Amino acid sequence: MKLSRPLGLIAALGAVVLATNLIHSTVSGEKFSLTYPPVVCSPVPSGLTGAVSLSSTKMPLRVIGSKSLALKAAKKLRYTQRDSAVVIDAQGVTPVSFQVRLGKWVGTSLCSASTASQWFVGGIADVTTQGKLLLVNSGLSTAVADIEIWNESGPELTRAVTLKADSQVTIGLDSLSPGSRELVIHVITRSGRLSAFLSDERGRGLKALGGDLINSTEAPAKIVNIPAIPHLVRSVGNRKTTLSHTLRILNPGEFDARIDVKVISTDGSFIPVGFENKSIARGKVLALKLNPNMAAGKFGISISSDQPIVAGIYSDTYAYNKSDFIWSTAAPALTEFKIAVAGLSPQFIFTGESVDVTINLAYSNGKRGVQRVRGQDIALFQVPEGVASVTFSQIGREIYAGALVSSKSGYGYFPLASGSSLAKSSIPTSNIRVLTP
Amino acid sequence: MNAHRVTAILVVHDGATWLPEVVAAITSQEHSVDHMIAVDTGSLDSSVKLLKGARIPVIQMERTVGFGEAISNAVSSLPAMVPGNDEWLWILHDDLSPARGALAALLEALSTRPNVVMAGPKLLGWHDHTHLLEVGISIAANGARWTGLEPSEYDQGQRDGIHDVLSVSTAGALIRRDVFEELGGFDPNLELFRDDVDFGWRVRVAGHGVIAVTDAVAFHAEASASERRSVDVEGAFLHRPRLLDRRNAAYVLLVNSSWWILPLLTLQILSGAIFRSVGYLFAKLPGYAADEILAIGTLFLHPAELITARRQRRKLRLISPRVISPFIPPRWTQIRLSWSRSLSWMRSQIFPQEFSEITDQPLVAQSLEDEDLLVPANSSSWRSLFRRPLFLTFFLILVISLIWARNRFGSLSGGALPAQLPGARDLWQSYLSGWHYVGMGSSAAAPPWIALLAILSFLFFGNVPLLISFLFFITPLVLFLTSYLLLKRFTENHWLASLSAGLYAISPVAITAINAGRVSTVVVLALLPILILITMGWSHVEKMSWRRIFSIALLIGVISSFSPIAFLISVVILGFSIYQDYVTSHRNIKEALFKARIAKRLAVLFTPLLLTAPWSFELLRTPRRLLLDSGFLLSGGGPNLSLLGNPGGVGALPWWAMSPIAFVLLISLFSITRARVIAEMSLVFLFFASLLSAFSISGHGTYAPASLYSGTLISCATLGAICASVILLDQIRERLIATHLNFRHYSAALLIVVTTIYSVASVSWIFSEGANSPVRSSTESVLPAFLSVEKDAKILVIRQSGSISSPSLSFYIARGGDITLGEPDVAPAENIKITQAVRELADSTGISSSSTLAAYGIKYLFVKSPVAKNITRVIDGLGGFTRASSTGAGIVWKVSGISGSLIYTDLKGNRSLITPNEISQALLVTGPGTITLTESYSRHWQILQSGSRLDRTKSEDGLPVFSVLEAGEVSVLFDGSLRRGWISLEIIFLVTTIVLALPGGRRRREISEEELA
Repeated sequence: MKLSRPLGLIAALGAVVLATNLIHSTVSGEKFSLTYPPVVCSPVPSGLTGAVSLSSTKMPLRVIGSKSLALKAAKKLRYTQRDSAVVIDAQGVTPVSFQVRLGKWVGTSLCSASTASQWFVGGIADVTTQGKLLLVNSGLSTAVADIEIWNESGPELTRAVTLKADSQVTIGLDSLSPGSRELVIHVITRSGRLSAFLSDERGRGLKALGGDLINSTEAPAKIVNIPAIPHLVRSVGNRKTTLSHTLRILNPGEFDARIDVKVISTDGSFIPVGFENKSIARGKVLALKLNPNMAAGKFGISISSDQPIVAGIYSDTYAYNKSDFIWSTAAPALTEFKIAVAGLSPQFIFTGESVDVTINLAYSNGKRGVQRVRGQDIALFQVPEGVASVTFSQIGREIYAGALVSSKSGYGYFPLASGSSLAKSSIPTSNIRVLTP
Repeated sequence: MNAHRVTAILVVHDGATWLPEVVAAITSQEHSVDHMIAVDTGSLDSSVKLLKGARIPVIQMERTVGFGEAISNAVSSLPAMVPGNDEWLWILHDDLSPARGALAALLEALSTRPNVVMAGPKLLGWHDHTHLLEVGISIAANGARWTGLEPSEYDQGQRDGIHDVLSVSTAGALIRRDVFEELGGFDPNLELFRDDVDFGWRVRVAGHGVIAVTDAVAFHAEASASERRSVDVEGAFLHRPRLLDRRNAAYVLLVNSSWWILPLLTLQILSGAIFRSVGYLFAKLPGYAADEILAIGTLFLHPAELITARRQRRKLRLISPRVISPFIPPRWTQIRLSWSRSLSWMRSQIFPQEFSEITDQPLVAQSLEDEDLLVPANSSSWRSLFRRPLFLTFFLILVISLIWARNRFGSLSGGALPAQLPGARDLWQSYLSGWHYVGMGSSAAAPPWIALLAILSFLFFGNVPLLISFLFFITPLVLFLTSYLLLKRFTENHWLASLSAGLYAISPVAITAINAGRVSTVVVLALLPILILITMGWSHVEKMSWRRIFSIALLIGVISSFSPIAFLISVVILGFSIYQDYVTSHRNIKEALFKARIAKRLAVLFTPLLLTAPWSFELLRTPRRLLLDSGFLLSGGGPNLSLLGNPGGVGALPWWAMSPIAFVLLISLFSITRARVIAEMSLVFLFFASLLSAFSISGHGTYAPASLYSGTLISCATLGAICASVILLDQIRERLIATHLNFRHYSAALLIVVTTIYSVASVSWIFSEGANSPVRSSTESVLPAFLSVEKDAKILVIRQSGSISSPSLSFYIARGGDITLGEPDVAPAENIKITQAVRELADSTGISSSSTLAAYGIKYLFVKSPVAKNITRVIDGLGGFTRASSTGAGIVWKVSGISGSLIYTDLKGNRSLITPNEISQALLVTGPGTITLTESYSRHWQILQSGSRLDRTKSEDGLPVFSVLEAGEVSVLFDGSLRRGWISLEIIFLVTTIVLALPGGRRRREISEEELA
């Protein structure tokens, strides 16, 4: 009996431990909001026709520079653009902008959310150029950006650009770096909600040499994958000529880089001669002819480097008796996301050691379909006609993908990457402690 | 010698108690007096009968006749002086017994000093003949009677000799008759007290000498001064000796001092009287306090008396008044003496036993041991200090503190501690102000601990950062000392008490409190042992004095003002005690015991509430705040860590440095000693600490819920555990030796091992990680300098914290600077609209955020570095914000639109900012409309125009809006009358409680004669 009180207290101790731990459900002081930032689609340079593929007719959007800031439903799955850029509250879907100079060339680019850094590998600033850098400030405050330019000689002077709220600016490439043949442009957003786009259009006199929209990458990397490059053969009479490719590469760092370029094709993966352990000087844009000996088709490349680099592939194309070119740019590893491809029916090219991707198709008539794409090194998937959007799911490891769009006017390319990823932002709380060092 | 003729004049007033001995002493002098006469001033006792019985001629006078007048009467009754003879008057009191050779010694000294006309004996105590009372007297600049002796000085002959003095007491003074008559005798205005100093002063400036002759000894009972008899002289207003003494002291100074020193002297006398009366009030002696004031009043009411007296003295002054300056004690001597007495008192109060241990040991050793002159003196006695547990542990804690505090020398901030205010003035301003410019502004009552810190900062010349820095440095030492005082009650083993107190100083809760800047827990830890000490015997509260009850209440008030949960704890304990009283009183509330107890218990309950009002009333209105300690709200460590006696949170000991607190408490549960009761109580505290730690709370400007920090409860449990362990381990060695191996041996061994491991682990952690605590000296500021320039501008500060992978955003409104001490405690409630605007800002939907912020007068938006790129892009893109700067400190945007502290809206709805006119600083409105004051709404905000108040309403945004009817100048003010009223009441409560809690002074008549002796 003497021990009844202490034993009772010890029992109470156990009860307290149990109760307090039940009560003390992990209380996190932090709360987060998950939002998809709106995406911006490229403005349409004069003379071009533009359309944006959407996944739903109810997708809200507004045109840059319009009087009203209110978002209105698109009402169409292919929203026809005038000259101005379009801001779309896509809620995680990545619309694709399609631009065409009828009968001359086609370009496609992803509509994406504003990022702090955009690298464009492509473009030319010699006498043939009609290319333009298109800057869009989708915010309601002034935006400031720095434009860093590299060419075959090295870096150029950085230019600062200021854009008024809700406006867009077009800058000719010939004014950015006159005479340059190999351009790499880096747009750094200093303030504001700024998006940049690059169109590379060329012509000699009245003769159109083709054009394309160049998709951007966010940052230099030591592994660069360009998954979708069209390898075409032009028949001139009985003679068949393989159309050439040029690898444009920049090592923007402080040290020279050594790279290996692996070609991934349906014929197998290999490193072309001269592309093994190749030295890349720092600060200069190099153009390397890449003419793999293989059958016509699609291929991808994977560049591994000991220094961060940016790279793109310029490929000549020929279709319907018209010459054009296409810029295939780096794609990040494929993640689960949804892309709107209404009216485009692109061909997806996946590269990776073991490709395994589930593709969910949503047709514009409301039907749905699921396809599983599997393969070694490279796999192709042609999106059927009438598909409005594609959702990628159950994706294997380290798979890179791009899309090629072909039309009577030419070829277009876009990487399969989400234009707006889910942004997890902390919900701010009122806390007086912010005012103590 | 033969030429000296001595007439003894004995003044008697109710002196029958001493008279037989006095008469015997006079008559048995070696040098007999030539003539003796007694003057009786209306004695009511048998004095006259005794005198007549001794055949001493008696002059009988009225009871109201003063001492001087009595002497004058006696002198006038004497026969005329014989030429050629030195005639001397020997002034004797009825409570003065001269030694046999007193008169002879006086005359011998005088015989060789012809210039000396006044001589006095060495006065010793009536009861204790070794108690030195006087060897000559003087007067201090403040009017105090100055003997130059230590209190209760033991006469060992150290003052012996013949000394030139300003004066000697009239008790036993031998005065040459011709000079006495020439100077007009004693001043009739000084009927009692200070007539001796005055006369000596006059003798000196007349060119004569005054000496004290220590070969002449007399024993004095000081019956009037010690209030053994009533004072009935005519001029003694209300018959109060002290009143008369103070009045006469001032009189002597004012009539004898040089004219040019009079203004300063008057001021000094006045201020001295006020200070002393306040002191007597605190000592609960209102009568003495009144004496001080009345004494000065009665004197200044009769300036003619002073003028006449000065005129008379001027006539008789032959030499410079400066002649007395060597006899006036320097101020420094008085200060030094007061300081020395205070220190001695404090030391004896704090370390009564240690004090005797230090002082007595050598004495005992010296007296008991035969002195061997061949043995060299021990010159390394300081080493013995390290063999003393108290000193050794104190020294170790000091070393630990020094190393631990290496990053904390300077202005401290961090953890729960906001940046420091520079001076006491700022603290007072913060405390007294009715409106606090924190966030959107608040009219919350400032907690009383701000005033306490302001008072303490006077010790550091008003330097608050120095006070805080010192406080955190000294905390382990204070914890050690206060807990040692308590633990000594449980053991006589000094080693056990010292080491246990050391453990308390480095307990997990103490380490956390210091590292995390939790001033509240530091104060609780420091005062808790004292509180327990003075509440011992609480169960029989009826036996406690009211003084102790109010001391307990005062201490609870102080603790609660830092840590309001102490209110809750005291309410629970008091409730439980009252219930027990009810049961003990046979459930009859009319029983005397219950009544006796309930009054005292309720006094303890309600006094702290009143002492800390109106702050405490605000806490009762929002009881959640009772759980919040002072300073920033920081998370605790959760329930499991709390159960181990570690409150957790930032700056806390890691879990692996497990303290033995819980272990001790569990072992103590099985004890048969009172350790068991203490352990049970402590476990209850620990349980509640754990339980509360499981909950989250927000407040004090932080609205992200934080795990409740239960430092106060854990402090109670920690102290309880240490007390229990001391009781357990006290004399355990003897018990363990006496018994066979049993569970006690194992548990004792385990306890010692666990404690040792904890001590090593905690000290190692303190030396390494612990020194890099959140609290550290810092001169950094959150806001860049250019934003701090606009003092009245509101700046919304957004800051990122947390990990890189999971950053979190917090915001607050800055008012021209960082948050300082006390401001979190008065921070206003969260403003939902501003919070919503900021949230929309962060999730990029806040198109109207800028207009919302502008409406609340927020001029700038500052995102502090490191800046999340996402949020800057969003703010850039949203519109309504214009970048003003981007520096290493962060990015500043100016909020677009009309924004400021006063916004005027005309009848058409046009808004404009009201800014002070550059020249006149006047605020002008241009026509009818409304003025919005961008501060939180309070009914004390007023805008005056042409002397009348404008109508005030509350806007949808919760801001005060005033209707303006015409153009003109306006002025804005916050009416702080209510706050001032509360503070006045608080001061009254505080002073009353302090007076009631302080030890009462004793009137001199209440002191036993033995003590006086």
